[in-house]
Amino acid sequence: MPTVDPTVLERPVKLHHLTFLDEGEEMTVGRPDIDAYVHLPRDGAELLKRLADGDTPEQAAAWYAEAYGETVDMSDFLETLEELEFLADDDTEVTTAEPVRWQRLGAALFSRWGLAAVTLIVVAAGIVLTQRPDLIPHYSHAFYTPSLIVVMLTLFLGQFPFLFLHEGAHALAGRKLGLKSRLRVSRRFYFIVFETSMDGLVSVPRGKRYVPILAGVISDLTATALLIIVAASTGGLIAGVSMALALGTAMRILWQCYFFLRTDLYYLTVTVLGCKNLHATSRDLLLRRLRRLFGRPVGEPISATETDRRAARWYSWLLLLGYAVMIFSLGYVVVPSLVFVVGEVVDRIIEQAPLPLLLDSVVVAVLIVGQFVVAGLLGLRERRLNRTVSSQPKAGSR
Amino acid sequence: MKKIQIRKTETIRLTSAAQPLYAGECAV
Repeated sequence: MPTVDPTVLERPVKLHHLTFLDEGEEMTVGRPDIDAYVHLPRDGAELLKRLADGDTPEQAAAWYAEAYGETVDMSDFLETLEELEFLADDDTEVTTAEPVRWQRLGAALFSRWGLAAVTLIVVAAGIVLTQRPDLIPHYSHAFYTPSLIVVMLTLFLGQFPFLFLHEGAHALAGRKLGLKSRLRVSRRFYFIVFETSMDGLVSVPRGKRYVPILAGVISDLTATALLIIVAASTGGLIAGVSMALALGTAMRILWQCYFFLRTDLYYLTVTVLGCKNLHATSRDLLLRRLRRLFGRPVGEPISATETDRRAARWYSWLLLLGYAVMIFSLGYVVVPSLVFVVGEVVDRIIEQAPLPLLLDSVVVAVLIVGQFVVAGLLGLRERRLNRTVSSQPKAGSR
Repeated sequence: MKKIQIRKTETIRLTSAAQPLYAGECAV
């Protein structure tokens, strides 16, 4: 129930600096300084603009009644704005977003000239591959040395510079548009991922979102192309290491096709389709289908746009297929791999294998088992954070 | 009394996965 003091309706409210993006039937409104954004129906956004322009809530409500012929629940609206932290206290300063760093570097790298240079590098690598098809990334490129421990360490350690490059590209392309971003380590299913949070992307027009979304894959493609060119123009160990790294980078580009894990390709798809939250809408649809199948009570669908609902009808099946494939691979590849590796180490300890062989197995085991342990720990941390967040009062779908 | 419907935007997390290593890659 609304608990807003009635006198509040008689004086203007103070709002933080808000951005408004017109998206047809809805508007995206947000506070760039804390990266908090919501979708509002057009009438709600216009009402908020009246408040931002200095109307008292009473005046804004009177305007709404005249414009739309309905009485708006102003107390409820103000409560929501309070929960979203859009309202500023009278005695605190209204905060505006600070300018982001590295904006000029982002603008230079993702300018027409920057993108032209990248295209040139990728085309050059394509020409090299027509002359040297043996340099098309292939699994055999990983085994550039007979020492398999070196192969594993190359693949493991060699990926980090490229992971940072991928995420750095997202961040810089966002900075070009003045968007804040944050890098962190997380997980998707059993994959450890580096991720760049860029919630402010929803506040820029749809056409400007493509480069920040694609920047990571653009950097991966450029890195792969450069590594192929290096391998073609050198030889021996340098070429071997370059091609092993090119293979790893190409595999990470392919990983983006697991769009049901909300990869960059997923965000690209929803941007092209004009969806707002396809993943949540599809998951909700899938869960309600399952509940119906098992005769359990089916709740109300979550609030979503018509575009999301239409796309969710087919995307929810792809989501189910994706999860099924991942669970299958967990049982078919991941678990047997872990059992095999642990078994190998135990066998060698029992057989009192020579020290180098034993060390070799231990390093391999630590690398293989360690990655899943880290993914598991990240999953536990996520659950703990979610529990903390869900125990606090929250604004959200109303 | 008309309530204004508000939906939070989807969080945007642009990712790159660390390459899983499997036992297939490994008797030197």
